[in-house]
Parts: sequence; structure tokens; C-alpha cells
Amino acid sequence: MLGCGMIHPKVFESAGYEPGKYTGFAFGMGINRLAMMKYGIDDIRLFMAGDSRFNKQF
Amino acid sequence: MKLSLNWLKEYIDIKEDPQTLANLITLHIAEVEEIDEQAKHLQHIVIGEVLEAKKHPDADNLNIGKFDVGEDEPRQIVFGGKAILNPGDRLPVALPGAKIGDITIEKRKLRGELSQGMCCLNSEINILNGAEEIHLFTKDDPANGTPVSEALNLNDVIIDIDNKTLTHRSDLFNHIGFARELSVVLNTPLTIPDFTQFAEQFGKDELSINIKDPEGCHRYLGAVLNNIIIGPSPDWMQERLVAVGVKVINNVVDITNYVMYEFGQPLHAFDYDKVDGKEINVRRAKKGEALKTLDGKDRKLEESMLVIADSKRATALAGIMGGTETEVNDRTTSIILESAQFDGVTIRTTAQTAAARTDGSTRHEKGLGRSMSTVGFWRAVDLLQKYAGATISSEVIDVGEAEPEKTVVVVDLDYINRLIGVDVPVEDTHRWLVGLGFKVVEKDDSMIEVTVPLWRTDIHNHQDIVEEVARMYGYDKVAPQPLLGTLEPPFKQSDFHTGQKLIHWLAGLGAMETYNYSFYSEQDINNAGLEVDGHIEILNPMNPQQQYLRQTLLVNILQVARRNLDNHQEELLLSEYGHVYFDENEFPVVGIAMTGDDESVFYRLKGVVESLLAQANINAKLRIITEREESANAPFMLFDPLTDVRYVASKKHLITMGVISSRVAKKFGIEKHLAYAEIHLPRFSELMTSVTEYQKINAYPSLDLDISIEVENAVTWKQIQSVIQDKSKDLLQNTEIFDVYTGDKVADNHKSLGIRFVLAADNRTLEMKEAEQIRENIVKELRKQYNAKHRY
Repeated sequence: MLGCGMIHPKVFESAGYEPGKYTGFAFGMGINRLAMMKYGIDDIRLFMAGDSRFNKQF
Repeated sequence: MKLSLNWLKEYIDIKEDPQTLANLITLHIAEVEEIDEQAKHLQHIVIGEVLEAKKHPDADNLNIGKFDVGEDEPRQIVFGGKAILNPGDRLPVALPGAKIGDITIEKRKLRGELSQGMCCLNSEINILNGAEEIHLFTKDDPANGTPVSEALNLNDVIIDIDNKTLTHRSDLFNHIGFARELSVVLNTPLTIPDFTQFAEQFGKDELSINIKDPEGCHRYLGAVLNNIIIGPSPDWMQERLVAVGVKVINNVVDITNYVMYEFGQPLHAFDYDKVDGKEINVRRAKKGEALKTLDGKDRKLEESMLVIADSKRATALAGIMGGTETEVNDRTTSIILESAQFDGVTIRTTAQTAAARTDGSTRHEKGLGRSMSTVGFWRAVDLLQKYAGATISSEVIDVGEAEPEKTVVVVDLDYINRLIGVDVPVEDTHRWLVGLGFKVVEKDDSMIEVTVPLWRTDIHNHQDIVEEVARMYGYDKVAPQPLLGTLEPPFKQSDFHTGQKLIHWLAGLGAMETYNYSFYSEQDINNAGLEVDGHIEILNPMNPQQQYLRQTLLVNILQVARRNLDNHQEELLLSEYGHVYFDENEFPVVGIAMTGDDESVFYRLKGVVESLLAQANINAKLRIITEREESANAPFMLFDPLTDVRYVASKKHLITMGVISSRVAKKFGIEKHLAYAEIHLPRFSELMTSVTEYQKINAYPSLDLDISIEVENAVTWKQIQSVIQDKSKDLLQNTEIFDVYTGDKVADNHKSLGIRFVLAADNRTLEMKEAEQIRENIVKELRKQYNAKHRY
């Protein structure tokens, strides 16, 4: 649902940050999954199906 | 990966109930997916003895029996005709309250006869071999009425760990690995089984091991063991293997699997007598080489695959699966035991190419630490000696890379506290790290030197050590603290925001937003009349439908339109925000599609597009495209030429619009007319303004004037408008057409237009005379330029 963690020093390094200077947190929210829980949607593929019978409900 | 609680208990003392233990594992080690208590499925299922059995009077395929289930009175139970039960047979009987799958057993009448339970097949209650047969208990088994779970010793709890949370921990795909971590979490001693790692030389059996592909194999440890007596493995070993879902085969194979689940080292046993030349060669497969693997599949090998081979042929897919020709069977007396350290990437690619994933490949592909092959080898030798009569009969050969240097990391204790945000007592840090197998030396008051054990292939730097301390401390014990700092407004991604605004406005105009993948197929490109050349191709597409990055949203929108038309959703207005991809360039666009029964759909979509332009205060001009230039931006050969247009503002091409030619529409299964517009967002957002300059309201009155003219059909409103503009200068406030007529009263190929225009001056009252003069000039000019006839 919400993958998160501290940023690996190697990631900072590849992004060109000065080594050891920064620490960071990253969060990734699965917004489709949150919507599934909120609206009781049982199939994640519906979001990409473009079916008006689905889309028009929102 | 499945862990057996009973098995873990051999190495550490666990008092916690299964749920508490599972929570601790999730918090400190890896995510527990499920805990499965074997006995739970078997509640109210007991040993019952048949006292008498007879046919059901009213049903041919049913029987009635009296069963002793350890109660004062026997129970009457109706059972099916499949099983032939005789008095004295003892079998699993489900009593009322038991759950078999979704069914709860109740006392009820079957064809008029009372039934107070059910006789159970192994398959129905998932015990032993799980077959459609009845397990009969012997005299030695416990008394009638004893729960089946107790009689079969099914009191284990299976803890299922989510493999994804372990991908970096090749040392944890086994029981010892988890027991080691749990001994730290539970603060209880760890007892690792004791076995000898011999140093002396053994018998005279010939064996040579050659690593011919050092990239694919870091180490190979092997020896011949003879005097093997093949038979079943001991009951306790079988119970544990079955509990973690491994099929029981014979003592030799079971021992190799057992050691893999105990210490994490996958092993393989070759039948020594079937290995040609007494050679083990680790190499890539040869072209055209074939191998029949233990799953019964005849495999054609590819040159990228790593194999084990004897002097003649491939005998195993290295680290993944053995071959049938060197398989251990009932007549085997000597084996070659393999304990190797293969390259993770090589094993993973071989397993993927061969479509063969096994418990062994799952472990090898994560990259096993060197220490594991040593421990795995000698533990297997230990068990083979004890349970298969084996003795080592060759030299123990250990080839490959030299033992690597252990990683040493110096860690600042203060850094640990700072990064976690709590003060961790030094003694705790010390105890946890040592418990996890690290060697810790105190350098001074604030620094420790940590030596990483060889099995921890995931630890490289001091941050990794902090993570070890943090997870043993417990993330749940780190109290939340408020964030302190300056809040700065986020950087605004204007293209994205413009896109969202457009989608929002479009929703107000009745559009349905869609959201599609960024890819399409070669066939889609051809169907749409686009060129495959210039498209960015995906290296490893998930499927052929997703082979190319899209250069327009149209293709996927056409497919959405098709599906909705198929579902009888007829009047469609679809929108999508998304990126398009070119060689050096990727940018967001908004696509809009509208369906209709005739060409007028073009004008309706034009209305939608122009209302967006009006909302955005962009003054864009419509250009009809007569000839498509052969430039990079010319993929839109798919529009009906008469409706192929673009909107241009500040000399930039903002919007492409047109009606899809029926040829293309048909290829996408669309019978209706479909108009499509695509908005270039970076350009659109550059020109979009939300505040327009206030225009002073004119205090002087305005005059309305009408003209009625007849012109050729080819003359456009735009041309007429520009004449009116030209002749009325600054006085023009507004023009509009109020009537268009074609028919009997005008010449062929001509139209009659009724035009109204409004004039006013901003510094005086405009006189009618002056206004009429302007009208005169307009009529004259129209006659001159377009041969317009003035009608009265």
C-alpha cells in the first residue's frame, strides 16, 4: 500500500549528490490500491480499461 | 518460503504463540504472509473404528455404519459406496462441528437414516499423501477418539514468508537463518547442530571437478560418497519436509532438500556410476545439446545456459535441476555430492530461458555467500553418514575462487543514534550485532569496527549496519516526532497542471477521462498509418502489445472508443492526459476524441477545442492543412484530408485536429465518425494566461448594420471577416453570420450569407452616415475581391 524507506547512499551518489551530506525518505503510494479500498473495486485492470460503464461512476 | 515452527524450535526456544511470533518476524526480519496451524483444519476429526457396516436400505451407493469414536455409545454414520469398510477398520471420522472445506459437518438425516459424522478421505482433509484414499490406523496408533492431528503428529505451525521481502537476503531462505535472527529478537540462545568438517583424505574413488566457466561458478565443492543404501528418510525428516511443502522421495534426495531448508545451501546428488569419465565440468551448454531434466521435460539447451556436464554430455542445469540420466534411484550405491556457489545472474537468466524455477534456483539467483557451501556440504555428509550409510570415498575437491576478504565497516555510534533518532544503548548494539553473526571490536568510546560474516552478502557500508541495529531495536519503538523546518511552496510543473486543468474543463464539457498504457504494437502503428521507423522500441516488452512507445495518444484512445461503442455507449467524448515519446524528446499532450453519426462531429469537436482556447485566453488561428509535409511531425496522415487542421498561435503549432479517415477507423473496428484533437501541452501552457487585461467599457452608443451577399461556396467566412475588419478599422466591435442559404434562389455553387456587424467609436457618438459609408466600402471590396453580389 505504501512502500517507503530511507534512501540508499548509492541512490544519492548516482543522482550526483555529495556523498554523506544528505539523508532522505521516500514514500510511494499505490493510488490505485487506495481507490480500490475506498470504492470496493475488485479488479485493478479496470483503471486502465477505459470502460465508460466504470469511469462514469466517478 | 515456508518455515516450520517445530523445526525452528530445534535451534531456539520459542514460547511465543504463533501470532505473536509472526508479528515479531514481520517487525524485525521479513514480512509474514500467512500462518497456518496444521491442527486447525483437523478440529473435531478423530480416529473412529467400524463396529458394523451394512447397505443403506434406500440408496444403492450409500452405507450405514456404527462407529466407536471413543464415546460411551457408538455413532451411526452414513458413508459413500466408494470405500469398502470392514468391522475393525480405524479411520479419520469428522464429528459434528468439523469443517471440511466450506462445509460444516452436522447431525442430519440422509435418505431417512441418521448420520452423526462423516468418514474422511485423505484428500478431503488434506493429510498425508492427499490422495483419494482412506488412511487406516493400525493397532499401534492411539485409541479411538484421539484427534487425528495428534495421532499423525500434525501439530506444526507453518509460517509463510513473503519472498519479495527477502530478495537481498540469500542467507534467510532457510531455518537456521531465521533462527539466528529470532535468537536476537527473542534474546534466547541459538543452538546450531554439531557436525564434523573433516580435514583428512578419504578413499580412492576417482573424481575431477573443472570450472570451465568461472563467470558462472565461483566455487564447487564435491566428493564421492559410497556404500549408500537407498531407503526412506527418517520420519522426523519427512514430517518437516512435508510441512514446508517439499515432496518426500528417498533418503539421499530428502537429505539434500533438508540441508537446503536447514542451512540454505542447495545441493545435488549425481549417481556416480552413471557419470561418464568421473568428471564434473561446469560450463555453458553447447549448441544443439539436449538434456532430459528431473521434471520429465526434454530440453533443448541454449549456449547461454550454465550446465554441469560429464565427459560426454550435460547432466544438470546448474543450480536449477538435475538430469534423469544421472538421477539417484533405488539401485544407486555411490553418489557425487555437489555443494556449489553459482553466479546469481547466470542462474536467474538460465532459469528464465529454460522456464524452470526451483527451490534451488530461488536461492542461487540471490547470490549465496561462500560460507554456505562449506556448511551445506559437511552437514549433508553428516546426515548421509547417519541415514544412508554413506562414507566419503574420494578426495574432497574444493575448486574456484579463493575465499574472499570479509567486509569490515567502521561505524560511529553517534551516527547510529542520529540516523535512527533514538539513543540505543551500546550494549544492545553490541549484543544484536554479535547475535546476528558480526564480529564487533570497540575502537574507542564512539567507534566500533564491524566484520561482516560471509553469508551476509547484503552488507556493504555503515548505513547497512545502522539498518541492522534499527530493525533489532524495532521500528515500532521509534516514537514519531513532528517535522520541523520551513515549508516552501512546491515547484509547479506547469505542463502537468495545465494538463489537469484541461482534463477538468473537458469533464465540464461532458468528456470522460481515460488512462491508457504508454505503448502500442507494431500492428497498431500500421493500422493507424504511422511509421514504425522513428518509434522507440522497448527492449524486453511485457507482450507484443507493448512493444513501442507511443507518439500519439490516438491509437489507444481509438481502442477505448471501440470497446465502448461495442458496449453500446454511443455518443463518446473521451479525453486523456499523457506523454508521447520521440527520440530526443518526451512531452505531455492532451488527446480528445468525439464520435458521431456524420461529419458534423468535426464542428462539435471544434467547438470543444475552441472553448478550451477561450478558457485559456489563447488567440489561436485555425489553419487548414492542404499538403502534409514530410517532416517529423507529419505522422497524422490518418485524417480525412478535408478536415485536417491545426491551431497555431505565436507561430507555434498548438493543436492538431481532424476526422479519422474511414479507412483507419475501420481497421480499429469503428464504424462511426470519430474526430480527434491532440494538444501540445508545453506550448499550450506557455501561452495560457489566467488574467486578461481589462477592456474599458465604451460609453458611446453602437450601431448594428446588416449586409446580405451572395458568393461562391468556396469563399470562407474567414475571408469575408477579414474584409470587414479591414474596412471598419478600430470601429468594429463584433461580426456574426445570422443566416446561410443555398438553394433555388441563389446560383449553383453559390451561397447567400446574412451578416451582422456592430460599430462604435470610443471617443464620440458614431453617426449613421459614417457607418453606412463603411458598409458601402465593405460591399464594394467584397465585390472586387470575391465577386460578391449584394442582395437587398
